[in-house]
Amino acid sequence: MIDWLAWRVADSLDRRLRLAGFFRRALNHVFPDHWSFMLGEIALYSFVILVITGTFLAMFYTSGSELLPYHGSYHPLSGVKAGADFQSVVHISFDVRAGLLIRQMHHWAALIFVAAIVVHLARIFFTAAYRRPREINWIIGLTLLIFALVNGYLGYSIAGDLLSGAGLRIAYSILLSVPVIGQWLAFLFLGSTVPAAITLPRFYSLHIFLVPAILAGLMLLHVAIIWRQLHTNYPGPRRTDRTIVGSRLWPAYALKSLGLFFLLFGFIAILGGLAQIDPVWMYGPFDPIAALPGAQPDWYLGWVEGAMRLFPGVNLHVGRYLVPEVFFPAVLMPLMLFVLLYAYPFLEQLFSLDSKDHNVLRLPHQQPFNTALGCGVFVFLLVLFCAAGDDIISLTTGMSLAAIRTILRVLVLVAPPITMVLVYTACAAARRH
Amino acid sequence: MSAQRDPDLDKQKRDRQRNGDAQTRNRAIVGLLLAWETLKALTDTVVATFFGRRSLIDESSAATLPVPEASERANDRKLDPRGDVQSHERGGSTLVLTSFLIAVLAGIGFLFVYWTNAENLLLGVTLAVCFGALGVALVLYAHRLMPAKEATEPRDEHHSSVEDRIAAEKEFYAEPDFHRRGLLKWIALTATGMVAAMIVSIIRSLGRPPGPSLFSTVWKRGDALRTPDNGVVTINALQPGNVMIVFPEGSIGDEKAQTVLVRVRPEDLQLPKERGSWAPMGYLAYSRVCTHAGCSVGMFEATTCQLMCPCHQSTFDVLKAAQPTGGPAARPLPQLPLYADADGTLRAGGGFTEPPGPGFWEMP
Repeated sequence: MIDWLAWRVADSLDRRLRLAGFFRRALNHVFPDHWSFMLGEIALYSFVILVITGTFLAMFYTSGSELLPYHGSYHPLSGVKAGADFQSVVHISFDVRAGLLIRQMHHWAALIFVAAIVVHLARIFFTAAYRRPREINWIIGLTLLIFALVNGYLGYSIAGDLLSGAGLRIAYSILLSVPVIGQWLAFLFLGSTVPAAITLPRFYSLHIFLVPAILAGLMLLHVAIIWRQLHTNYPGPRRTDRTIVGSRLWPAYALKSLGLFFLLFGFIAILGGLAQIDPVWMYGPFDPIAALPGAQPDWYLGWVEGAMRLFPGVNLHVGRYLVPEVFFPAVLMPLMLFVLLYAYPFLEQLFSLDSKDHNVLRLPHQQPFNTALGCGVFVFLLVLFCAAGDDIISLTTGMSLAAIRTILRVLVLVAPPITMVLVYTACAAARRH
Repeated sequence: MSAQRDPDLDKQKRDRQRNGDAQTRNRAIVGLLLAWETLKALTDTVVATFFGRRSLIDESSAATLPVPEASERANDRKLDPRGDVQSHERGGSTLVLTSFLIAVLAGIGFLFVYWTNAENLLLGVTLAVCFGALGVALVLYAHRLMPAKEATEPRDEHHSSVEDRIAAEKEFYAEPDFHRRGLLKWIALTATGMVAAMIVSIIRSLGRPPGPSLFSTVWKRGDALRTPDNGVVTINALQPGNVMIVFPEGSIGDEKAQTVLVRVRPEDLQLPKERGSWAPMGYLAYSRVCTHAGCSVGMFEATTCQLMCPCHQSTFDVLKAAQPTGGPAARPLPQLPLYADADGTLRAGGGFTEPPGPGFWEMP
């Protein structure tokens, strides 16, 4: 019966759209098998889970900053004045059936989404998969990462709680710190004070409409380009720049990939059920006077937060104008990192005089400079990430905050070059053997 | 002797038992499969009778038609050719079926939990087991029930052929009726520029211009200090070594006007000379918005007289006009001059010394 129905549908579609040829080519499409090629798929499937869970949450979330007393089933907050945004998030968590599960799954999926993109990016970098002809997908991938970071930030901001309020204040000061146009940036995009009545409704529409649409479009393009160019292969028998070796899409690859989707969904479901995340009712609604010690952003913004903590308080004047201290760690440093990443394939082509098409990957030890540079940047970001939790390190170890900061300030400058030298030497030695 | 049992005998017994178990299981599976096949055959007959499946092409001619590129899959290498494919597949299908059965049970469990108490933990666990087991079933299916094959195919060049490129270029430029192509180029360029300018301008609608609001607060000379509950603040409000939040009267809760009032012992003060009279009886008032990233400077350490921002741990010395002493802040917290009137009420002697809050380009 099912077979017959499927056949009827396929038959009538093909009689109208001439699909069999394309369908057959698609079934025979070859995908190389390697665990590291699943990282991008994990990112894609996290996005699917984000859309599913996010659609459910959007049925209940309301944005609105007018403060009204809370009267819901979470009694510790009874009578506390809060905006409609915060109240709707508490409502989802306590009064909507399965609401807490979906909300926690959504937040966990967002963390995994960005993590999968970052690890995928590292895989591409350390195997030189960004080389010609794949620079386009390298650029699209980096842009996807930026929009993923932005949407994650927008998402945890719209809950209207005390923690996200601190994040808004910091974002405001970062926009304000941009030379020349800072005031305009902050006023146009966030409002005159934060959070202004306009800020969170605007964030909400960006979070659920514009940015996801851009993400979905770029992902489609990303996958279409992989389809067109065919995937790279690790070096191995029969793998050359003119051949591709792997499994056919149907049935082996498709089943494994679908299995991966369900495994990821299951993993995120267990996190949503067991691991509490962003308990806004414990922070309380945003209050411009309240201060929240131990505030941390989501993991993927830790490097910027850490840089803001480590960068010394320099008061730089250009003529009679001021370049605020926040500008260097929170605008210039991330900008430089992304410019370097965007330009990297082209810089490599320029310096190695290699502009051939490559379809076989390089292993990390076969490219000592690349690997060393990547490890150096990784260690740099890791130190910054640790610096974002320096107050927590101080509390747990009992060391003074000033001492920890001094150590981290030294480390952030010294550890990356040392790592680069060590990794370069190790790779060069491995290459000789 | 009787206590010593022959281990070989024991093993044989166990083996027999295990084989028996396996046989029963296999029989059950075979039974299930048989039932399924019968059911399928029945349905197919019914479907064929009532719905009559048409073929896309005439069956008799189909046999003689060559399938294009039929060899595509024929060349795939079989990896790991297993000796006993039959038994391996049977073991595999047991695993797949078991896994799928777990998924179904967990799915039923999820529905049961959802329709009863909808407890978050149980919802999460049942959903996770359901989808996890489904994923395992699919992956096992791919690994156990499908021959592991490796396809090798040639790659095309990434670029078009030279003939295609020349033809495309020719047809783009050499369309005979395409007059005044230059004009079209100019129209396209100008229109793009115009639309871009319009979009950039529309962004202006997003908010109001900055204006002077960043440079001043609502504090002015003569404003009485008020607590967040609108209480009057007199010279008896605090003991030395204590802090409180104050606002100007009439603007309780104004984010940029929030001010921290500290009382210290007057002999400890190290204010610049011109600010000497700003601290009646050791009362000092500073903007509570951090000059680094705009968080509320909400912590006070009484022993060292330091204000600290919880966001990035900038510290400010209360005794020395809130100069930054640690952390990333570069500028002191703006000070609010104070005086006590005849009734002993604390009042502002003017606005803040500098614009409060984080730095910006035009900040003096």
